Amino acid sequence: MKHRNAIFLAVLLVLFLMLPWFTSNYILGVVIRIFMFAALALAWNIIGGFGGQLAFGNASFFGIGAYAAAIGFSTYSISPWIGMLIGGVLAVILSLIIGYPSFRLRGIYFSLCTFAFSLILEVLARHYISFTGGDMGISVPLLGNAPAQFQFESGVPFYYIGLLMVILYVAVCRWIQVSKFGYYLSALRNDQEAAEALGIPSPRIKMYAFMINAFLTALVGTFYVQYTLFIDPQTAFGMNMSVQILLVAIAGGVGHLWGPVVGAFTLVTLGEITNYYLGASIPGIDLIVYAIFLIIIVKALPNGMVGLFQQANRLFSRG
Amino acid sequence: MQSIISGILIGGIYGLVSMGLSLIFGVMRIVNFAHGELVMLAMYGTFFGVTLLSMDPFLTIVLTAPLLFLIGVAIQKYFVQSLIGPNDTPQLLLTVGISLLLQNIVLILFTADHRSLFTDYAIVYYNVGGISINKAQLYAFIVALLCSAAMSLFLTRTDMGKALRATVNDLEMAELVGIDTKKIYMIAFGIGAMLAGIGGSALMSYYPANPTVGHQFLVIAFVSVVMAGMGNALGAFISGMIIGVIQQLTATYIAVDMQNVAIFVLFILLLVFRPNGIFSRKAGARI
Repeated sequence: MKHRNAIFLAVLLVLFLMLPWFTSNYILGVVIRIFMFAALALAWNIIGGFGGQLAFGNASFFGIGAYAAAIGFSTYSISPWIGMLIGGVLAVILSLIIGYPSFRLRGIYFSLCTFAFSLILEVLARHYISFTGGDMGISVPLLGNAPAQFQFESGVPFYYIGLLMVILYVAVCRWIQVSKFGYYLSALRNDQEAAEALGIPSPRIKMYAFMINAFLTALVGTFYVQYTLFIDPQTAFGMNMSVQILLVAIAGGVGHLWGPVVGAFTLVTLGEITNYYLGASIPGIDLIVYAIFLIIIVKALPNGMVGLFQQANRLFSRG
Repeated sequence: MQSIISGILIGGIYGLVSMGLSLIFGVMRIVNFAHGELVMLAMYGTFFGVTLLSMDPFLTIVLTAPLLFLIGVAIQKYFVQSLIGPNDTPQLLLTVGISLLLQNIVLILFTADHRSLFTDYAIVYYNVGGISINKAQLYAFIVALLCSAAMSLFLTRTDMGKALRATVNDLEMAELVGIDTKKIYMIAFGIGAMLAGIGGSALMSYYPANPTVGHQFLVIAFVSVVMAGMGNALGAFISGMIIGVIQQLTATYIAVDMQNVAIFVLFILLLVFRPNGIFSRKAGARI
């Protein structure tokens, strides 16, 4: 069984490595979006899935990563590659500031507290116009092909960077899952009191998970801004971003290693198909499809798509 | 002084909307992320009541209030009921889904354009001792005050209200003494939605509507509910007014576009230091 999985993954990897030779730019763009959301959801899954803490403001970190690279490059001429790291470090610092009060709370209150921080950042990004460009956002100057500045003429390099990112994030998640740290996290998720009674330092463990999540999310923020060359407060810190990250992770299957990847693949494809056929005539239809999908997932598939696959698998093997 | 008065006037609407959320949040522990959209629906209801049926904006409440009540009951009955349990996550996601759904249905039906009413309410100002008071804001405030007073009487004086409070205090005990808690849940969600609706209709007399207008009321309502303490409906009304004043003061003395930052910061401070609200001395929900 284990052997078969490894072969399956290897074949999948080869297919993904070769994909740019076979497909149009349009499909490539869709797959890059899938990679971005998969990476965002993989990061969230560390705190939200493995740790069971429903963080509702991950847009904060995404936005910091995006703005760090965009402001660093357009105002201070710092290469976005370095801006990416700066964004990551800033996000970790921010996660400490957000996490310190938020982790004193549990359940719904924790979610609301993290949500409030993302709202504050959105207003601040709007207000400090000279720094962030306000509502007009920041357009990153177009350079053509400049790998040192994280800009490429074609989508193919972005595709490979995105693929690499997803592979690395899955590896990080896998490592967390099998490490002592991961077991602490899942113990916390299942029963915080019992975990604490066994001597697991719950505030510190949660904070570490939150920090890793923040760092990884910020990197995707930079990737996003380099790919689209534009960022504004609504996209960066808005509620929609937080909701979409959550949506992808939950549609795939919370706390499951591959859940975010499956979720991103399903949701982005679904959104593209609806937009392709109906988007031009009916704006907002893709969000309606998302919403209906979300309601169905919550009502009918509490374990997400991965849960569905597992059930199907079990039925088959029982024969 | 001007900002305090305007703050109290607009705060009345916040209070009414928050009172509605407090019933939903306090009775059922449901974090209703679709609450702002209920306000938005009522605003559109009033808009069309005025433009198509040429009704007075405040009179449209007789249409929007029962409508929103039914919508609330339907949401509870068909979506939320089966998800009530120890884990908050599913119902939070569900209400996020409903919120997205309503927002975008309205976007498709009525476009993203701002809709405002041009009635004399919005342009008439009274001058009381150097403070100018907008007629629409004043009337909206009076409506809010009357509704919250009626609500308090309902909660304390009627059997239904008492059953509702009993359910808040102790669900199992309430069931043991024969209260049909499922019905109570539906009624609570219905009334909560209705209050949001009345707030929205009154607001429409001077505030433009668009599909995403509900978002700002959602956050304000959450802050008031937490400020008042879980399930303290009357407290939520007063907190709503306090928030209106804070918002206006920030807008006047710091910056208009920063008016919500003060509220969000207050929210975080409240969550951390007074999660049971500023009115309660100890833990435990009450109405």
